[in-house]
Amino acid sequence: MTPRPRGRTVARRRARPPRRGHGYVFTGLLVGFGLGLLIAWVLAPVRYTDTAPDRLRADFKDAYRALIALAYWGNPDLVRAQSRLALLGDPNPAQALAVQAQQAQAQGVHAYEVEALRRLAADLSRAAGARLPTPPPTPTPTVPPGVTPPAGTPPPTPTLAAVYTPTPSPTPRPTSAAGQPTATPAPFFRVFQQDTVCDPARPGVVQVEVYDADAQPLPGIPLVVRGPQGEVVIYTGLQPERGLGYADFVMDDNATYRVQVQSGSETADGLRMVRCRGDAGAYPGGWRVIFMAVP
Amino acid sequence: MDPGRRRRWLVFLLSILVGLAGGLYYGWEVRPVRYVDTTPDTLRQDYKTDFVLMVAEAWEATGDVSLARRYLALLGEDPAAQVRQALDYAVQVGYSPADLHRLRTLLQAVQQTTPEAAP
Repeated sequence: MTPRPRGRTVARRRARPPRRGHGYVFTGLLVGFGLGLLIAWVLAPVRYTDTAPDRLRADFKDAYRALIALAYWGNPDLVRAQSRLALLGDPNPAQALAVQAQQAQAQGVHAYEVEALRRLAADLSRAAGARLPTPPPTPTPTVPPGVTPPAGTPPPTPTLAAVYTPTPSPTPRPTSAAGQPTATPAPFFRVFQQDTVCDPARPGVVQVEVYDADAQPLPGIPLVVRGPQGEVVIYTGLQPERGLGYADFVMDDNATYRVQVQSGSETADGLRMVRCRGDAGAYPGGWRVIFMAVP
Repeated sequence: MDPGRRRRWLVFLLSILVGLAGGLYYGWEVRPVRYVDTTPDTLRQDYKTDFVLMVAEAWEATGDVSLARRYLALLGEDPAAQVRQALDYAVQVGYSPADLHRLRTLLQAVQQTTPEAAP
């Protein structure tokens, strides 16, 4: 066995290129990318000085919306108001206005701001041709067979759907000699429909809807509910998903309620829980009351 | 420093530069910082002008100068300057005579009332 010459082996090892990976390239890229992001997002981010209204903070959007409504009050150009509202990117501008009117009223904002918001919401709904889901519903048997209304409960008022004919009326505009807005006289509302409703998902609920003379839902209408706890005021439009003119309240058992539009209306009275029967047994039913403005 | 080591350093620095360029491109172009909660004073001039015009229209309806001032204050400290700037822009881009009249009327109203006098 011949021993290998050691000196030649060492020389060969030195001459061979070292085995190194390319990790340092990857590390360099990562470090660079991180530095780039640091500069781009933190040290020198893109400055937006020419923003659009849809980028405004929520409270400024509200101010913008209110200003659109006030401007519309002064210059009733619906197309202009619509194009301005479109800048805010609200999915449903009429709803947004109605909800804001409610909030503004609750916060005690200037009455004319609330009125302006309501007016624009109503005019938008009218322009969009938002009609009643079905012209005040036909009298389906809302008290199913086998349901026994409690003693003293008046029978449901017959529906007037068959004789109702909406009469178009011009939109009232605030005008005066000085060009300043004047209060529009509040219309009188009559009870258009009062029926019992059996809905196991909403037991004992009185659903109230308020419409103008053109059958358009009216948001922000105060309703006076009188019951055993006294008098409570509720407002339409707080649940826009159920309709702009919708409001509801839950009845207590064995209590009778009356409801009317605060500004003046007929009274829907005798509102008590009714007993309904479903697959799961008996449950308390409610009422559906529709107020319609007298043309 | 042997040539291989020097070359590696060079490649490392080059990769940092490439990464930096990539990071800047991503941060400024692909996904720049998005300001979603801006204030009205950052609005583009055409939106600002329309904002002032809305104030003018609202003032026509309400006659409430304090309300007009309150809204104009959202655009900047000097309401009269805001209206003047809007008026200049409106003239420049050719607003209708009626809108120009509204803006001029608002400017007069704002100039006539000092902030202290406004309720």
